[in-house]
Amino acid sequence: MATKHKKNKFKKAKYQDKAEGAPEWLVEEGTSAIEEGNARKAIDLLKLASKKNGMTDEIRISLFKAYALRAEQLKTKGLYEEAAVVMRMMAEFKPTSASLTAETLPIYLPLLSDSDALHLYKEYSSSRGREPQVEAILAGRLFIRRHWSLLEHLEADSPLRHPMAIIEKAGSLMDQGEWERALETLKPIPRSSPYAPVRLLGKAMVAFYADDDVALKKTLSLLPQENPLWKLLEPLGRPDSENGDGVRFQPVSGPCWEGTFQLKEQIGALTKALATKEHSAILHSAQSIAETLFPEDPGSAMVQLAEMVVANSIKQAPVTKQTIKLIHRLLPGKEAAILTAKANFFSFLNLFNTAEAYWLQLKNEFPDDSDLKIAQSHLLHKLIIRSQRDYDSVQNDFYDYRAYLTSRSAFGVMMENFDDALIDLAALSIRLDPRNKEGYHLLLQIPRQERYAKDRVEDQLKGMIRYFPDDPFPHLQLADIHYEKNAFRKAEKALERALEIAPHDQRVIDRHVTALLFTVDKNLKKGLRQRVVQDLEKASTFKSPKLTPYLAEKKAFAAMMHGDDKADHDTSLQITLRDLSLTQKIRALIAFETDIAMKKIHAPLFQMALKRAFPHKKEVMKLGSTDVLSLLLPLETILEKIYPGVNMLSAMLKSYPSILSILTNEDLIRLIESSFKEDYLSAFDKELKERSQSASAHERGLIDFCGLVIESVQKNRYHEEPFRKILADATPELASALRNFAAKLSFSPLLAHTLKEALRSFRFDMMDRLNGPQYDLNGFPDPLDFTPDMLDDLTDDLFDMFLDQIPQSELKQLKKEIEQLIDHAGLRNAPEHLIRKRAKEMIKEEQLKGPISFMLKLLNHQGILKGLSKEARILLEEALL
Amino acid sequence: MLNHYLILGLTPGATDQEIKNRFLDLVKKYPPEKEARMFRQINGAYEALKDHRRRIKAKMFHGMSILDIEAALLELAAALPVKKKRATFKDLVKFSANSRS
Repeated sequence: MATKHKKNKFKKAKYQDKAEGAPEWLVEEGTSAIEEGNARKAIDLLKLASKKNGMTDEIRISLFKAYALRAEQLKTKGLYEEAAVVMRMMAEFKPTSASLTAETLPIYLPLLSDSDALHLYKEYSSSRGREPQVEAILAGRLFIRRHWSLLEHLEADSPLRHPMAIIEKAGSLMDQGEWERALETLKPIPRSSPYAPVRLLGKAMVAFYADDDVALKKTLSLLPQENPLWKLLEPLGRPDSENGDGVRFQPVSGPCWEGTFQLKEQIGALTKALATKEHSAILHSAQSIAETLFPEDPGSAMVQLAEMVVANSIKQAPVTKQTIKLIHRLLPGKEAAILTAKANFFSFLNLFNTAEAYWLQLKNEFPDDSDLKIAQSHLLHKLIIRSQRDYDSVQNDFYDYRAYLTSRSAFGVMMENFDDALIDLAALSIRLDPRNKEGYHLLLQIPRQERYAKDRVEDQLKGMIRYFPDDPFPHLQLADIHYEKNAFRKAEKALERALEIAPHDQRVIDRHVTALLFTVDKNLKKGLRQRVVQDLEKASTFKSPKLTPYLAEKKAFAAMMHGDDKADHDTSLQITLRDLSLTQKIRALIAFETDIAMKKIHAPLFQMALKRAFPHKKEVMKLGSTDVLSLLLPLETILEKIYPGVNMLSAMLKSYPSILSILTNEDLIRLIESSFKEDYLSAFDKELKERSQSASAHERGLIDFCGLVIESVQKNRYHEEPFRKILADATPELASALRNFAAKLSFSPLLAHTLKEALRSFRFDMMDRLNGPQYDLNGFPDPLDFTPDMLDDLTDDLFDMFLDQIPQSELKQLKKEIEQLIDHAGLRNAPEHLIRKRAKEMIKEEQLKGPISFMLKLLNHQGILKGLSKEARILLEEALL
Repeated sequence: MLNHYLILGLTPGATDQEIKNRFLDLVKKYPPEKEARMFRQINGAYEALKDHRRRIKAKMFHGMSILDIEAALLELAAALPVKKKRATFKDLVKFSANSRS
């Protein structure tokens, strides 16, 4: 209490200081305090002012306002008794009609109750005359609150009372949302009536629902903003200030619009529920979103939402019992079974098993027969794509799956061998949906070494020709198959047919020229000069910018082979390359160099010609990044047939070691994506390190990430932490770019399985699992402590002493764990070559070298090796070799 | 995929004919010379949905390929056509009173 008393005294003193000689200041400050919402301060200041200079009208009005504000504030806090006390104090300062003016009346009235306001106005108008603006405000208030009984105290011809019948009827229609009928009813209300704003309100609403934004804007401009009805129209929208004429009203939150506003809140609720993993909350949120999105068919929206929810769950962990439980909460029986099968398939474990399980569900998801076939075809495409991307681990899955098959698979194809199985599955996908070109494209990407595979592909391409008679593509591909089978005549016929169908298709032209170059090359080797000349002339008649350098190269090579060159003149090579651009020239020269090596040409003339023609380093280093990138990217597969083993990047790095420095950061990353091979990793790594500091934040993220991948491959070490650091600092754009980059790199055969998986799924925590308990040999001295060198150092005697202390039970446990390793790696019943291959990969992983060596030595010593399965013995033997 | 249906005002089970008819109706309502932005959205949605084969593929795989559920749902929210709702006078009064408090 004492403190409060001191405080008040201090406050008064503070103001009193200022109050000396500044009463106007007090009033001014008090008014400002009201505007700031500080009612208590306002009251103090104004009371002081009144004590100083007496109660003026201005002070009276201001005090009335301050008390009214304070009463509202107390009511808002729920302090109704206190508010009532303040209102009684406020009444002291209630204006009389005599004290009011035309300016102050509109200020006072909003602070009074409807009854007081009307009464005050009645008194005022009887002595001073009507104030139409005030009447309109009163009319607005009355219309909102419908206190029509208060009008009974007014004269019958009072403008506020006179049109009551019309106003009441209109009000009733507006309460039902019948704006058009209400407006019709209000037609007799003149502009001079205090109820004219009510008519304007009706007009605005009618214009709104008629989508007449021009009329709406005009009507709103006529409605005075001080009228209480003005605020009611805020939910109609915001005029679009970007639009030139400003007559498009943008939606705002409120009762007049529905859509986005509700959905955002519902999405927030779902995200929260997913974080807490509360199934009932997830269900409730998902259902409300489905109903908002598609009120006519929330069920089908629910299926897609459930998929998104499940995809979100399995992103963090594979399909668990909890995931399946959630699926069954979200969806009814049949849909839940479909989604469970889908989720398992998308978890990418045991790919063939899960693909078959989803295959069996497809007839439920697509009851229509033709839709079912299309869906089955799509599923097979997905399976094939995944197999190509992750060949080794899917091959493991395949053999595991095959081991469990008791009869033919549900796919209905023979599954003897992985590569043939892929071909058969691709052929099946085409049979199911022959009009989908994707099947044919996938089939062509599957490696086809054996005759069986080539024959199958040929059959499917002939089928494609039947379905797509106007497409040159199958003819081009058929030509490739014929070339592979050394059926050159058939190949040429296929190409000619393609050219007949599409004589202006550049793809066809290029392919034709390539075929001619291929034939030229063949005939050069056979020494058939005349045919070479004929084919080169024929190739020259086609316009093929892409192949110009190679055509020039073959011309020069042929001329030199035929002895047309003389040492003291410009060589054929220099002559034919003269008109080419620098990049075309370089391509031709590298092709020429490859040709010399392939054909084992030792004549000095060739090397001299090459040396003379090769551009100087200065010239090359002036090239732009785009040109250099196009030079360094791998050649198209078709050209590799003419120049097998040609390697533009290798050749360029050899001739121009600093060529990579020309590339922009973006282009360098593109190059690395397409050329991620062991031979170039050091060059890439060096270049990346040099750029890291000066790159922009976004590019640095990509550069550092790429560098980390290279380092992991080179050192065979996998740690989550450095990747996690980069991702933690990444903006959403960078994270997306990194994800795309990782996805592309995951195809590289250079990557160990763990890193491949990490890049594919974009989850790096799995990389530390290699150090986890899987390889913990409970009770043994930790083999991870034994490096191969340490093992070598142990003498046999020491080793024996060490081993003799290990109990038999623990040795048996060790044997059990090795067999589990075989099962986990999917090697049970796998062919020997696969087991040996897997063993080689495992031994590359530094962390495993030690334990595997130790196990083998140990088991051999104890004679337990004999008791192991065939697969385990092969694995350990190969690992130790 | 759901956003394409939303833009066209169709349910996910719509047939080829329904999709085509709705597209033609909307193009008449939002011609390119007057409603360029809306037309582009409608056209994009139609291109994504008109192919039956593509719809089947999307039904099979699209939902499971979503990596960021929140972003995907917000995109749906943006696609949801905002419609006018019939409000009564009392709705307006109530909303105004709630906004003030």
